Amino acid sequence: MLNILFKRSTVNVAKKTTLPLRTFAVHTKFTKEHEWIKYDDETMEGQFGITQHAANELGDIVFVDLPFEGDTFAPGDAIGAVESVKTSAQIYTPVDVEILGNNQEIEATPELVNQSPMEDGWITKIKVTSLDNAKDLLSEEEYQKFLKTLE
Amino acid sequence: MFNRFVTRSTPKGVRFFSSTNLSRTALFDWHAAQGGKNVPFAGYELPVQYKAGLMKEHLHCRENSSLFDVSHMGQLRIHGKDRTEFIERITVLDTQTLKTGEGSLSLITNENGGIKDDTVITTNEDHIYMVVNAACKEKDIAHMNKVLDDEFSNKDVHLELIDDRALIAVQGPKTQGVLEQIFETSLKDQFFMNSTVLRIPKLDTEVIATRCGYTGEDGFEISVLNDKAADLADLLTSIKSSEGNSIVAPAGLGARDSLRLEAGLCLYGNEMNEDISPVEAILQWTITKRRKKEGGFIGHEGYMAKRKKGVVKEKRCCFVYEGRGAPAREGAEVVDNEGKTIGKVCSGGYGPSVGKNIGMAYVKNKYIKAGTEFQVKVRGRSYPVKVTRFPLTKPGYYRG
Repeated sequence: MLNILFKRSTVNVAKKTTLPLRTFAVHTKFTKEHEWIKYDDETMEGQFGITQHAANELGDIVFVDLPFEGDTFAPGDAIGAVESVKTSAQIYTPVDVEILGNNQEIEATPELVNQSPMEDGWITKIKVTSLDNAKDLLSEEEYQKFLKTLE
Repeated sequence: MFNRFVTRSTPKGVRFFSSTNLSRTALFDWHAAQGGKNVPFAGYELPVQYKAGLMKEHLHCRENSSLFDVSHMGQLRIHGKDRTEFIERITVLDTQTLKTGEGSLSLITNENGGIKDDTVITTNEDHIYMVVNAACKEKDIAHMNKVLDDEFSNKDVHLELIDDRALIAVQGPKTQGVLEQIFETSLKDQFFMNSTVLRIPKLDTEVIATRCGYTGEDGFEISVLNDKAADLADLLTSIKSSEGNSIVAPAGLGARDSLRLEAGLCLYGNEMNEDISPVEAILQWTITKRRKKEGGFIGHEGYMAKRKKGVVKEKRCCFVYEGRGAPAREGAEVVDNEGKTIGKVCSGGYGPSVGKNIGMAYVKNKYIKAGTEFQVKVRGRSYPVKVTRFPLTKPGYYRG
């Protein structure tokens, strides 16, 4: 995320509550730019979104600029942008991805990203095409620690 | 040497500096206690929003009453018997249209007729009161001192920088009711753009209260002594509705910007600058027939030349998005329906009260008519917009 204007001390990232129904693992990884990706290691498919911290910093979100289905992006590419009343921030993928579709709900109800950034307010459906060039992916614990350093 | 023309209200200029070299206003601690999130703005550390957030703060102002700290703006007094001649030299103001205690928006012009600053000027019995933009105040004072030195050295004009007073804007439809409780007097006879000195009995202090603002709503700007400013803010937020809620809530710079944009009010640095004249900015309404004809203000010749047909190529217009999309903000490209560049956005964002993206742009003359359709570009995507007359919300200006 770019252009975050100021820091916020309270952080409330939703905990992953879904239990694995299958034998392979669903990974949730975070970036220092406050994005997250979730994917399972069999299909490599999952979702991409922004964290609660990012949503809080941006304030009231009014529009999400979404990528197109079929687009492919390399680590560090901007795949879209989140616009709030206050400011805008581009969102960057930390890994190679292909876009499988977007969250239609947030087109009509962008405030979902504020309300539930890790669940209902996910942004785009992705397939991780390679983890080879992944940059600085953090586990949830590492991300929480990183957030503490911003306070 | 120019300093001999400026006196300060306090012997030593009172400025509140932080460690980051940014100035602080008298309400700095008050903002912190209210959960304000500070940003640097025009050399000051000021809250961009409070806990409620920009959207709620904006809507609160349209429905209730909001408090804005605008102490960063420059407050000046012009004294001396030749002050009228001086103000008509440095601004386009027509003092003949103002009764004592009445104010007006006016423009400080440069030699070419460009806009040096916009300012609200009130004429009083023994002085002129003037509020200028924070980012321009140093420049304005230097400019005024130069004019005083070059043209008024044998005349009776004296400039005073008011630095012992904060400026608190209280805006919104419920403002009058709140302020009547604070001033303990009726305000029904004080109309839009009128300024009076009023007493706040509870604080044992006098303030300059001008019925004006920057939100499109009814409201007042209150010039209060620095050491009473936080008490006034507390007093304002202590007034409760019948449901027991504070009627006045603090609002930050973010809401101030979205409110003024919906109201179609220009912001210096965005819609106005030294290269833009009142002709391009569609601000010629600030210049009366007499001032156009008689001139006398700096840059009159340049301004009159720009009024000639075909000289000005681009003008300001206001637009509203036809659908959803990323809001085009300052600097975004404006294109016609064939994709050809026709101008640039100067202000833009989401309008919380209208629920749409809105903005202002400088575009080629033929595109400024209401109803004209063109597109604005954000990150390579084009969004259709329609030229619309602002304000978008019903103005609340109180005219009795």
